Amino acid sequence: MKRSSPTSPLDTEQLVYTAARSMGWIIPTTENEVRATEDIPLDDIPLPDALKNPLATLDEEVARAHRKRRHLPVPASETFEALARAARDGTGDISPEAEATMKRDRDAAESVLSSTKKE
Amino acid sequence: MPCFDHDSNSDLLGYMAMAGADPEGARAAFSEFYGRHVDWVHRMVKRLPPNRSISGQDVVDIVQDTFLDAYKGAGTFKPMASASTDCDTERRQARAWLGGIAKNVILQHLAGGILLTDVDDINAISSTTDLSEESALVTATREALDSLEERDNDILLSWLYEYKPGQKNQRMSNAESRALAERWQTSPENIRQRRKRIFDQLRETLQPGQVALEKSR
Repeated sequence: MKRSSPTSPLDTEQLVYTAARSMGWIIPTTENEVRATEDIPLDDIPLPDALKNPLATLDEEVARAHRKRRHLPVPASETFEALARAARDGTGDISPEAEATMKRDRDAAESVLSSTKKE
Repeated sequence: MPCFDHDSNSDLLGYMAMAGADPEGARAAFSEFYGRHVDWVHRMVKRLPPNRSISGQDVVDIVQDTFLDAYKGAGTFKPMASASTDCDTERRQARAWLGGIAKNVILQHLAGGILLTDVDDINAISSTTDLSEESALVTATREALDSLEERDNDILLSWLYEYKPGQKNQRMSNAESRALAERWQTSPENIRQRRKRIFDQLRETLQPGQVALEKSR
């Protein structure tokens, strides 16, 4: 029977995950991972003023911005297809339709972001 | 306002889940829960590597969104069965749950606002990693990760946030590769190929150490 090892070449992904976690690149999501983080001195990273009022987080204004962020428009799939085609064919050509779609999507996203920031 | 100083995290989340019936109680419970954990969540988000997509105001937004999602999804918190239910264990379980939410919020942020995972799925996140973080191989991996250029770092970080420990050969989601493609002005296919090359290079760099460790066992 083939012996399973946590460090076999197939487990490079797990190795990368473990290394990244030890570097603080991963938010802890298990009890053991949380335990390992709780020794970090609190005074190293002061809490910004914007996070000092708990109920501010529940304010309607914040909730509204939160909802908007979740509904930012996703660029149309044909834009990605055109980009993929350009990359694959090496021509760098993007059709005027795809460019127009990209511009429209970008303008829409910037408009939402701009109104969110104003709020 | 009700006092929740001595309630468990699980109790506080229970009060929050009943916001419809008792809004004032839910807000008071939220204040207490937030006060217990905001420093920790903030530190975890601030510890993330420098990344063009997460900085400054983004950190505040991610922390606020994490607590807002926790408030809205409070009813989904399921403390894991454990032989020990002391305060430390209970606090860590709540923080692990918050960590799952924060991870999801960051994914949404990196993907430009697209919801990739439901809060309900967060209870299912678990780690099967048993490699010591101090092993020479992990140290070598850390050095390899540290030397990545900005784009590769961004791609790897995005992949890491979708990675589920214990599952092999995981692919990057379409939403994530599209978001990366937009950030780096290329195609999702190029992003996937780049991710594959990053791992090929890492395997090449780390293979001697992996083989040596395998032989020593």
